[in-house]
Amino acid sequence: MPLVRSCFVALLGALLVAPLAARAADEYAYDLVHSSVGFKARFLDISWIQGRFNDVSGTFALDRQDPTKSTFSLSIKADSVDTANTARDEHLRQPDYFDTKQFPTIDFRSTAVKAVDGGYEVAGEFTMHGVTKPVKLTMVGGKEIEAMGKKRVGFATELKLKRSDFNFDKGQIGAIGDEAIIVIDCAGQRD
Amino acid sequence: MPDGIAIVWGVGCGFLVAWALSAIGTAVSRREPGLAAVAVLVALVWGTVAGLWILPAVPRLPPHSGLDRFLVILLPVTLAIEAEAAAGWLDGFWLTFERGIVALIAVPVLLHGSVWLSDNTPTAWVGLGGGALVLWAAWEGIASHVRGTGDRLVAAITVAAITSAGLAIMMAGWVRGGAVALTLAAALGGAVLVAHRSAPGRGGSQAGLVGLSAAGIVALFGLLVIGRFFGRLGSAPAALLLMAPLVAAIAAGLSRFAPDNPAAIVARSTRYRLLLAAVPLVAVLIAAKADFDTTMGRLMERAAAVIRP
Repeated sequence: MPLVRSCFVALLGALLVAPLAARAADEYAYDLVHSSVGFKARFLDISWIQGRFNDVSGTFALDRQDPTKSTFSLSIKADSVDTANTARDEHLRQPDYFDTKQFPTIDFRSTAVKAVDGGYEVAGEFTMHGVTKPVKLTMVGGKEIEAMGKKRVGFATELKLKRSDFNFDKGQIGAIGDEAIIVIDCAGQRD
Repeated sequence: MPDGIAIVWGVGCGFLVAWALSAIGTAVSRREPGLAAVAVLVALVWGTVAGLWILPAVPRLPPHSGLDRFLVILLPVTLAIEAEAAAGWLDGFWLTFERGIVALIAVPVLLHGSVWLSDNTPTAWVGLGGGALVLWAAWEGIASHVRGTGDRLVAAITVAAITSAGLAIMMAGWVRGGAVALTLAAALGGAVLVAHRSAPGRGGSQAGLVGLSAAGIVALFGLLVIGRFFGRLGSAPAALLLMAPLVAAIAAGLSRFAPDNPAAIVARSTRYRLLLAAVPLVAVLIAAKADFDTTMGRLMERAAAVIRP
């Protein structure tokens, strides 16, 4: 009888604690309307060409008590590249650049998160053009507010990378420089 | 992305290396027709390698894209089979069987890991089966036609079709893909030129021409598949480009059934078959140029407008 009572108490405890544990990490969905993922690369080493990706999805789970348990993920549809020039966008989608039919998405998955002043330092794996590399992002932001019936949080970060590290054709690197900067301004929302 | 001068150098180098090695190979092995045939295929390989190295468009290892898989897997396997056949090591059932296996895996290999193979739908399977059937029929058909008739025109038309495919792919916006196709066409052209001169009727063997024609049709098919599925080459232009060497072969093949018929005599004539093959090639190039003028050309014009006062 004591054994049955112990099991009952443990089960009750688990049922009570489980929702609290689940709520420990707040999960936000990527808010496409109020976010942007842009990029820029040097043109002839005299100016910058800028563009953006219009189709992005992702989630981030923020554990306020234990930030190391937070996670970030982002998936960018490479086909949605937009440089305000239809012909250039068509060229960028082809195998000379992103090869979007072979490598349809550009992805980021966090592997370690730690809180820093003003945000989070996020280590993770960045996959582009079929190559995965470890990267470290400083996500500035993270303060939650309530607006338009939803709880919202936002982050901003930048990632500098070399296209040659991601197996882009070295012959392409000339007029458009090797180094590219990806600028992520993302908002997340939850009920 | 190779620039215009690099493409000219790559194409020129591909042609010269393939031509020179073919000439040396056939001269050295003049009394061994099988060996001479293998020599022109080997010359095609080295011509292509030299041209790609000059471009530079050497495939990445392990293969990273459809173009890499075409250059590293499909083309060498095809050339190996044709070299075996030319040397007389492979014929009959086993030759047909090996060609069939390669035809079956060609499209899945070229599209491996892409969005096109992510859907396991009946349409996708029908497409893969259809592609395999088309390649196998074209490969076997061209090889048996050239072997049976010693037709020297088909290989030349295949070179023209690969050149047109390269230009169409390039004008659709994939510069590297088009440059590789042009280099391959140049190397094939160099080897075909030598094989033509040593073909039957000129005291040589047609085995070299059979191998080059067969490898050429597989190369054309592969380039059209990657141009269609990774570049912006349309389905209709791709089909027309593949048709060009096939109609030339079919016209000559059909005319054999009624050799004395006036229509058959016309169909057999080189001029008529050239015209028959030229129509789809010219149509595709005109359409590709029109598309280029309305899309990629505008981008270049805009850049020029900015540069010029």
